[in-house]
Amino acid sequence: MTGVPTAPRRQPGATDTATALAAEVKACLEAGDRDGAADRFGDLVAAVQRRAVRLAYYYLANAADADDAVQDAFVKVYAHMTSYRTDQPFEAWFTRILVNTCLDRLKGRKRQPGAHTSDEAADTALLMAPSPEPSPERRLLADSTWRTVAEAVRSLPDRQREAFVLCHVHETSPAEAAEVLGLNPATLRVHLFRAVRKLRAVLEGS
Amino acid sequence: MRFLRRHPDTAELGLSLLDRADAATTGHLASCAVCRRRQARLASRLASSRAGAQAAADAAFPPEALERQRSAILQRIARAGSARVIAFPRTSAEPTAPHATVRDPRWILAAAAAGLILGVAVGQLERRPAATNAAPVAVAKSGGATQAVLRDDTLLSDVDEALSRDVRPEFGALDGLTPIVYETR
Repeated sequence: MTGVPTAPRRQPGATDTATALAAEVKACLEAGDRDGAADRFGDLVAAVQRRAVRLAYYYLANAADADDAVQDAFVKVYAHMTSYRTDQPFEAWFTRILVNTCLDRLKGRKRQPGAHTSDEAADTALLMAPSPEPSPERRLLADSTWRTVAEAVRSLPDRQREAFVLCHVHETSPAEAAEVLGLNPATLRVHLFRAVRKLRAVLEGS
Repeated sequence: MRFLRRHPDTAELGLSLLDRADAATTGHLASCAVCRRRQARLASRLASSRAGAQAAADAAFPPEALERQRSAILQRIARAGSARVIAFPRTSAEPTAPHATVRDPRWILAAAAAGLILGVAVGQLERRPAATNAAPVAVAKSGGATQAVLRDDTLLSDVDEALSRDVRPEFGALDGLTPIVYETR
């Protein structure tokens, strides 16, 4: 097969690092070394934090909510670290907890309508600020494609949205996404297919 | 290799980018330049969407915000670690240890004996006031011990008189059928 582009996937090295750090944290906790565990956990947070906030921000579209969700997810992970299976990739386990935390927050928002404001105003302010030369970040923000797609993704049914966000935005492999969501890989493929079909109009740019 | 006779739709092209292309789509793409261009456009739009989303998140969370967040997480963990843990009250649904249900049989016997003794003692205490109260009432009603004795004498004399009287002829047959005590012994 030649010339068929594939979605970029993240480097596996980061995942391996996170899994190794998580195993060290677990070992420290089991040995009763709380200081050592907290120290290693700081390194673990640093290793996966950027990807975590990107995912939470995509789900919640609000920096304060995304910050809280990521914090909550890390605290939950630490509280249950002794039950972590070190033969499994840490990031799959962590992502499952983070996604569930984000979904809980979204449900909470539905119960309290009006409590949420998205950060679109902040993005617009960033774009409107005077700048002598547009940075690559500004150019990306100025492109409204992502915002259009993100809005359409939020209207998808839960499973389709989770499948698409994990495989597209989070650059998770479909096999790992299936593991994160607790789905059969074939079922995940169906959700992904339906998601892309519903997003057809925005993805074609029409 | 299988070939897709029609052009694959956007969902099939998207799936080939996000997951993997099936054999039929791959075969079609290899021979159809139009669909390859469609797929390339879709890949570009997906990449643009992803990069824009990541840039927005990175703008909302600059490195100093991540540092603050990391500090906050570690502080929360430290607080949780230093907090005194109060054991949650055990519920009835919680399984209990086997040794908690099996008691020493000697304790069971001792408890049963103590209960029996206590029950007898309480019974005696309850009966005693009843007995002491009954006598004065009887005495009070009869007007004293001498009157009680007189009443008994009257009853016995009535019985003697009844026995000494002649039997009425109409009850003779019935009397003959009734066994007498000393005859049955």
